[in-house]
Amino acid sequence: MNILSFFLKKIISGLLVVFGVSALVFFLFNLLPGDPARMMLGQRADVQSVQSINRELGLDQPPLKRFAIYINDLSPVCLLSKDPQSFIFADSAKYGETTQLLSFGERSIYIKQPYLRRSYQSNRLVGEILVDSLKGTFILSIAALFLASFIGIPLGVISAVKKNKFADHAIGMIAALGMALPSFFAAVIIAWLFGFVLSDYTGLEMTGSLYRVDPFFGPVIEWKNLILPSITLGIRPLSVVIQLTRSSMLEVLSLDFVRTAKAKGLESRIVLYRHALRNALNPVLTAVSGWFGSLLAGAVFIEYVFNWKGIGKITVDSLETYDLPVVMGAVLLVSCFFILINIAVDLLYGVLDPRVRRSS
Amino acid sequence: MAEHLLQVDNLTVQFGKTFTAVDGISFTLEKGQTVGIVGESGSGKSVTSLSIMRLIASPPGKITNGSILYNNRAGQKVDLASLNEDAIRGYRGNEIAMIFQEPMTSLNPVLTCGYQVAEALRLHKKLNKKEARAKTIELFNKVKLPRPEAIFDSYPHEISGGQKQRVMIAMAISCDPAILIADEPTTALDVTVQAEIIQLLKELQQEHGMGIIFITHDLGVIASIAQRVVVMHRGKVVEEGEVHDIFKNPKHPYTRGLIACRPTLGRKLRRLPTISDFMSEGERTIIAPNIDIQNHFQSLTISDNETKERRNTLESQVPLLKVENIRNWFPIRKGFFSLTKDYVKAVDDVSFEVYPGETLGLVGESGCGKTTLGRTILRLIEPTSGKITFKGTNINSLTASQMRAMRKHMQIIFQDPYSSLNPRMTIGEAIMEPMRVHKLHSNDKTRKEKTIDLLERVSLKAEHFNRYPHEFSGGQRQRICIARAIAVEPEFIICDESVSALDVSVQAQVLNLLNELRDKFGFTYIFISHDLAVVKFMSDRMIVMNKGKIEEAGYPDDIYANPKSDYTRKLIAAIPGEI
Amino acid sequence: MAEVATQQISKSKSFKAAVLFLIFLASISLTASIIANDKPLFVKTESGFWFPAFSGETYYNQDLRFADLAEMPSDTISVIMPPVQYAPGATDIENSGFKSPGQTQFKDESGSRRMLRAWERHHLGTGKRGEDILSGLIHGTRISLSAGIYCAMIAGFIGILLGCVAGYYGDRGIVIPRGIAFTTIIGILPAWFYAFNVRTYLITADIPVSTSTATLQAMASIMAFFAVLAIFASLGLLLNYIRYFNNKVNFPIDWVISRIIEIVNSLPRLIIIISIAAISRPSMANIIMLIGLTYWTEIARITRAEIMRIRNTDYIASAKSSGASPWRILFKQALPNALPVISVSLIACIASAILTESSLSFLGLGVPVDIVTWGSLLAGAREQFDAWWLVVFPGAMIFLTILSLNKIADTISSRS
Repeated sequence: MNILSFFLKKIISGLLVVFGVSALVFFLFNLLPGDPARMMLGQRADVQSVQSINRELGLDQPPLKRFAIYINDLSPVCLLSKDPQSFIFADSAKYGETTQLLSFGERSIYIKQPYLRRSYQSNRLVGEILVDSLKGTFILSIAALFLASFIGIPLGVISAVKKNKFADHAIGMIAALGMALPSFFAAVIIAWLFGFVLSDYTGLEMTGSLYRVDPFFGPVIEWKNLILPSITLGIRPLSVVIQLTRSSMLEVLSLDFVRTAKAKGLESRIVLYRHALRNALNPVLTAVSGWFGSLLAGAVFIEYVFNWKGIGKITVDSLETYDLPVVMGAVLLVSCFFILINIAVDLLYGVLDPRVRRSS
Repeated sequence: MAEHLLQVDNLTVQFGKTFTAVDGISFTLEKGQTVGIVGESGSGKSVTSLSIMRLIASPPGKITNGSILYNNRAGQKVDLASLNEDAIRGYRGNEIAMIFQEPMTSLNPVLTCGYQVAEALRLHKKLNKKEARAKTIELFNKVKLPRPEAIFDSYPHEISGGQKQRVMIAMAISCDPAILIADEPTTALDVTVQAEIIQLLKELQQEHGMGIIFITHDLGVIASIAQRVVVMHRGKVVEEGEVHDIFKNPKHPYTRGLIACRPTLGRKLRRLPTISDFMSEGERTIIAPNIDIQNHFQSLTISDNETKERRNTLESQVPLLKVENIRNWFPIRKGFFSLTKDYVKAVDDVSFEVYPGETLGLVGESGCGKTTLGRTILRLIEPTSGKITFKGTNINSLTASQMRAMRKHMQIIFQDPYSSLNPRMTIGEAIMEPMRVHKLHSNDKTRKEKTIDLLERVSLKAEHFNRYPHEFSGGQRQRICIARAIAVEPEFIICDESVSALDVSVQAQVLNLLNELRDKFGFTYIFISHDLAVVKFMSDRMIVMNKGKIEEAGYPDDIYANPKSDYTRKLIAAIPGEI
Repeated sequence: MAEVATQQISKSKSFKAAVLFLIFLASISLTASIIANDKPLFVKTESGFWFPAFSGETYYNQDLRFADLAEMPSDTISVIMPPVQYAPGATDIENSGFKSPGQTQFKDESGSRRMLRAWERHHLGTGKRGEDILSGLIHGTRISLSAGIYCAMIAGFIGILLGCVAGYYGDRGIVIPRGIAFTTIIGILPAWFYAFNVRTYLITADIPVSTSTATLQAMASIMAFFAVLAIFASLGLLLNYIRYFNNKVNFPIDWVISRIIEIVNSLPRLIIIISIAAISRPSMANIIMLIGLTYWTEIARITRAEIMRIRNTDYIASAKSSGASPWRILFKQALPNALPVISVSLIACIASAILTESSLSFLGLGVPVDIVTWGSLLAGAREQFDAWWLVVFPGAMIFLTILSLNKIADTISSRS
């Protein structure tokens, strides 16, 4: 099997999963009780304005039709109509710039950006709101993962090489503790200790986002605010990386080709890094990539405790005001990222491990 | 006394505090000579070879006594057993090289073959990248790898097992070592490939004048490559000497047993001799009646008349199993969207008949489709087309539940006794389970009695009933599998490489057991194996398979005496030395 | 060898400690209302005796609570209070505003203030309204453990079932006549329509009112879905008379289940749980169901992989060739061998369910306000950063519980 069809297969199955996720999200949130029109207008709204809002949002339509419109809105390739009365009227206020591909009279197939609806509260485009906050979460997660990999992999290797010695026990202890530490508990402790008690020495604050709005210069990047949240977020992945690297390394070190490498007369350092580590990294890579997806979502508590502006915080804030489109958008966005990362990792596997290219 | 290239003296290797894997062995190796170390699993032969390279896992392994004196290139005598890690590294791969049993796992899967060979050259010969590449390709040519340039850049999974072993050999001889240690280098390979590799090693030895230590469990291989042989048993050397002398006139009863219990193409025996014919082991002593091998063979030989009579009675019956035009093609999908299909023709248009009470041998190399055929007959795999008639019933037309009832009459014994027993079931349970499935015997009490009866019939004990599989040796497990297969009183049993994972001495016992059971209960066997000698010993008729097709079918003696197809001829020629 | 042996001993020591700790937690959670309660265990007066802590009665008579009897100096009344004399989350005005464990604590006794006696104290301090932390911890144990176990039951049921089916049958295991496949696929649309479209209102209307009836309605819908499918499938039997439809086709069950797992797995669990928990009416049962329904994928994946590995062993082939039915093979041969791996994933599920539950209560989402949990106690510290006891004690409980569960899981997986 060549790399291109491997690539295509992964992408097709990824698209299928994206469709499934969109369907699940739609039905999940549409099954939920709660009347968006009332939420937007407040409880004392009159029947007429509720109805008009419902019509505007298309909520008076049957669920399957609403689902079809929803998918049409999300899909980059979509069917739109020139008729302003139609549900799929090519409204530039919704879809922004569109490019026509094929035309069947009134209706045409267009390419556009996915349209995630508008916030019930601020009436801003959900896409815009999310892209704003995604940056914060993204940087936070990347920082945490870098921390986890760059500390975790060497510690895991040391632990495997010094098996059953003191260093191994100590590192194993750290990993076990990190695995059991609830993220919000860690967040509270770390914020309190380094941002409050030791604040004078560390110069860090308990809360803060990546951007600080300066009254004169506008948004200013505050890198130091990244330190505490990313350490907190990195604790669990760090422990996972340590444990995985250790067990994977131990397994690889017992394989025949390591003996072959030794029989060649290679130094143990070279056997370790050139021959063993490269083989041991695959499961670690899967774990790290898997964590990236769950970190995007799992940063909720850390964002909440450190008051960090990100997807999690936006979601929690939106939930307080029942702003469903934002929540749905956030769920979809994170899911798509997760799927995208998985595809990317599968492809990276193909590069790292020559066996994968052929067997799958 | 002349300087030996390598002199192992009183070497003792212990694992942990209690287990002595190698117990005070001594032997010598000269320049240009091949010493074979032969022994069954657990005899300590691999530990010996790894000790010379100082590659035993430590802890728990440790050389506790003895010396390994090596006369190095500079003409100095060094004791490899007492060198420190840095010093021994200078010898590894440089002056002493090693090839291993499993070519599949002995190469690093994420590095190219060429890189792995060049690595040794760059390390010991201090060549630069370009020189190392040129030298590696030269080596690949020398070990007769096709398209050396392409293989240089291939990953191990892209080439065949035999080619991998050639890459390993190229790696081993890259620095022109004085000693080559080959630890069962051909065990995992097909017999034709084995013959080529042995030939290659011989040629290389002549060219480079290396001393070779060749470790194997197969006496035949020793006969075809080694000048001297060391026979090991339970960590000790029981006999050492010139190959010719030892094979002609073995002194130690263990050696005699080992030589005798190996099925050979030349003889026709009623029963294989076993080691217990020659010796029985007490606590510390060995009790050995002095039996002459040749006389012993004589007493066990079947006469031609007897064979002819048996054939006539067997073939006058109605066939029990009739296989007609069986095909088993597995689709492989290719290209975009898996549209174009190609097929692996695992079994391609095979037909034969089996008579009641007969043993039909099925022989072929790995990938020839013999296992697929066996499983297709039992409908563990559905055939692509063809008809299988068992006891007058077309079993392909049976529904799932009818087929399950039919399975009472047909059983299978697998190759790997380690994976064919459920690790979480006591062996009593495992044997009773098929009885329960077919509701044989009225209740569990009678089933248990029956099971104990079966255990005793396969030379196990009643007290083994409540034990778990991990407490048994490979041979015992295979007996348990046999007991389980005959628990439902079948007529027909397929033995799929059932003795291939066993040591020769255990193999002889299991083969004898199978024959005893056949004579007693009138079983019909299909005996599948890659080993021509074993198949010839077991079967009344045999089939040679190659690439999914039947190459040749007939009586074993006829096929051996005068093979019709080229493939069969090649197969017979590849079988290592007749003893 | 000796080294390995000591290693194993030290391992089994911490394993024992972990098991003991969990047994300790379990017994606390079973006896929570006896250990920590503001109602006496036993009350005896002239007119009889009562067990208020067990029966749940609060009032002795119209204006006298059982608890008050303890304060009445009388020879005829005897009252035995539980070791911890406070109900979880009960307001104690005298000791409100974050009293630390060591601080002087008071009690209002018929108008006069006195210091609490040693056994009456809030041993682990109080929260904002003077609620007793120790009592909250004790009752929180029950919430956390039961949340973990119920979630693991839900997730385990779905996960093991789907994992076994996918792993055992694979893509080629289920072969059906083309006719049945054909009518079943046609049947999906009407089945979906009858089961979900028509009944959507019944399900959604129930969610805010009662989770259990909503669950029942959802179950009924799922049953209806399969019932309609079964009707269509049996129609397919008729098509068997046409030769074309009698040909067998594979139903790629593994592919289908794997895609479902992938879809559910790509959803950000926490956000989904938080969203639904926040929107529907707060209830513990809701939370447990949500966690259970999102965490099964991990169990399913692990079970699938393990069963798939076992399926290819020779002892399964041997069981097949001896004529055992697929279910018999699955239950007698495959599952017992998969059990260590599955139980490890179940324990991991309990641990993540406990973590998720306490995180949700920390955020104050989905869990009813009047239920005190470890997470909600910890959340109290957000208002008063000096109140270390609000962080340390509940945090340590969560931490130790997860640590013990992980330890047990590690030990099982290293021994199998």
